[in-house]
Amino acid sequence: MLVNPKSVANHYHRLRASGGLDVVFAFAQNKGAVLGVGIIFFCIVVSIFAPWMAPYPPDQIFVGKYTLPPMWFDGGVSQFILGTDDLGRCLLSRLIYGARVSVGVGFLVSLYAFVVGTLFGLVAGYFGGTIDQVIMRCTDILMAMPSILLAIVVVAVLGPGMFNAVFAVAIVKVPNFIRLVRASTMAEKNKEYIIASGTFGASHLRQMFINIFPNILAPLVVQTTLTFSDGILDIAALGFLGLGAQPPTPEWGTMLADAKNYFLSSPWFVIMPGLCILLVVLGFNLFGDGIRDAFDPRLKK
Amino acid sequence: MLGYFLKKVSILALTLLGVSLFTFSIVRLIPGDPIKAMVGERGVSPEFRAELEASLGLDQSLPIQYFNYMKSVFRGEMGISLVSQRPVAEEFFDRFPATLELGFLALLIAVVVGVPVGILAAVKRNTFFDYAFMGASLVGYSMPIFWWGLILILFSSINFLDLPFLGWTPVSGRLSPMYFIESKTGFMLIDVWFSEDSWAAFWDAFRHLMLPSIAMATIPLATISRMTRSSLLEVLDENYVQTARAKGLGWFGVVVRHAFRNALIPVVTVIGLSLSSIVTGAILTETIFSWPGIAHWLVKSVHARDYTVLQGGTLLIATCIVGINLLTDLTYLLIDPKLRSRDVG
Repeated sequence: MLVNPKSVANHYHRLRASGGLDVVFAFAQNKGAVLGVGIIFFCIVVSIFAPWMAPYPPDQIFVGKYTLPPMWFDGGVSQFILGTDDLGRCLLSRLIYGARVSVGVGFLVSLYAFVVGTLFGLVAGYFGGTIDQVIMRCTDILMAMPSILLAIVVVAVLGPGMFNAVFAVAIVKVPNFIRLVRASTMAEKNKEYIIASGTFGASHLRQMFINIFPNILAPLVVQTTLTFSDGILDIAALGFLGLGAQPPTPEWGTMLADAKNYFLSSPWFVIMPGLCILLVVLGFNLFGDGIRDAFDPRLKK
Repeated sequence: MLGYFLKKVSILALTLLGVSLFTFSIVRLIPGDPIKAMVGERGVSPEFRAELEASLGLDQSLPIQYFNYMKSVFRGEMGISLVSQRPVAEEFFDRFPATLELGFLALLIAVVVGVPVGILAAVKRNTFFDYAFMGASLVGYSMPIFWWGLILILFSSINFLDLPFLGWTPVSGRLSPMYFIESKTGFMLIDVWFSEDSWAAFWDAFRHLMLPSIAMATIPLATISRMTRSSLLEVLDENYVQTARAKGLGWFGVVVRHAFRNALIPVVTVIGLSLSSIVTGAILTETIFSWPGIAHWLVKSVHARDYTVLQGGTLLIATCIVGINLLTDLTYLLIDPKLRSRDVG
């Protein structure tokens, strides 16, 4: 999703002057955004309290209870609310633990992309010149490859696995941050307060991290939220292709890959993990859209 | 205009050079080394190893290896697949039309549905219509395609709920086995015209295309409709749009002739960017629908550790994407007269 750094930043300054209250107010008026916060909150609660909420450990196998349907269908038992998978593990428990995995990877991916992207973007935008050209051409190269393809290539080199997949997806997300931070930094660095600070002898590091960085945070927050949802989606996709988390990790994408072999006989087994992915990603997208609109009141009237 | 063009082309050349460096280093970055990956677990004798290295040019220094690699790339040689022992370029172009056909249809659906929906949502802003369609498109945007493909199969091919008008879309492949088609262009919809019973075969090929192209179109459709809406909303507030309204033009004239043209630039950008999400979609869609295209082939090459395929395929796909990005940039010239009159872009 595209973020327009200029418009978001302008409104952000105006709103900061008013103590930020009207951002919160504008956000609270947006029903979709509040719904998004609700979903995210629910998901975080579930992932923190997974061991207490899940009826069974995610990899406990119940011999003889294979691919049971949810309890409200024929053949379902109340012992397993959402039924069991092909190895006789409680599907609900695996989905609950899956929230933990997904929220975790979303967090790691966006943290990594945020830190690396901000560093390079600040340097490129602040110094300009050759170093800017070099950094921008490198992002061009990364952006010439479709995101999943690049992630697949990185995983092929590093080998399949959860942390390699996180690393691969994060690399794919970095160029977006670099571009956004660079554009915002370039707009910011010629403003009076930066020039004034420079004449007082502020060092480059101080200019970049103490003076400029806090003032370009608004578009970055929006981008980070959207990266969170993209990251969850991409990690699930890699898991589905067998390149991400490996069984028996209760990751939703990996569970789907497993479930697709049984989907004629047990459709719910396919439907559930996908619904979870959809819900969480939707939550983060609603939230991200909400913040963006709250920073940019022009769009809502 | 020429300056703009030259600037874009030189950036493109630089990018491709970088991509080639990247794909060149893939093989060198594999844990272990390419010889080990080639011969498997049992290992090789030092003599045979030296012989293999010499035959692959691996005994030379890295810059010379890169130079040789680029030389063969320019000759159109992408190496030999470690698994099938066929030239990578040949395998790529065998499969490319299948992906292109699917991707083209998906993009067509996305544009033909997405743009009008976006326009309507902008015109009927803050009505039920607007909320319903933008809500749906956000759900579409958040959809894991690999799951959506399976759901489509479940409900419309297998017809799990037994609905009367569904169940006619096949689950996998490009054509039913009862039709034998000699592949001339590689595009199934064109090839079937030259077969014996062209209508029946065409309909069959089309039915095979339906579900994968819908699955693939979902995310671009959502992005395109959202972008059309927001960029049209911005333009609708401008003075000249109000002037056109004040002159007494109907909404069609105002929206389509005056506003939409100026709202087009971000939309074209998004369509250009969608092509990259189409390739991403292809990787997942082709895997689900067993579509014999390049994306499916690449994923299989990762599992088979077929690094020459991965290397060549990535380079070829990146080249296509970079070329498409250039085309997108050139489209701006057609849309925006301001860019056309400026000499240096």
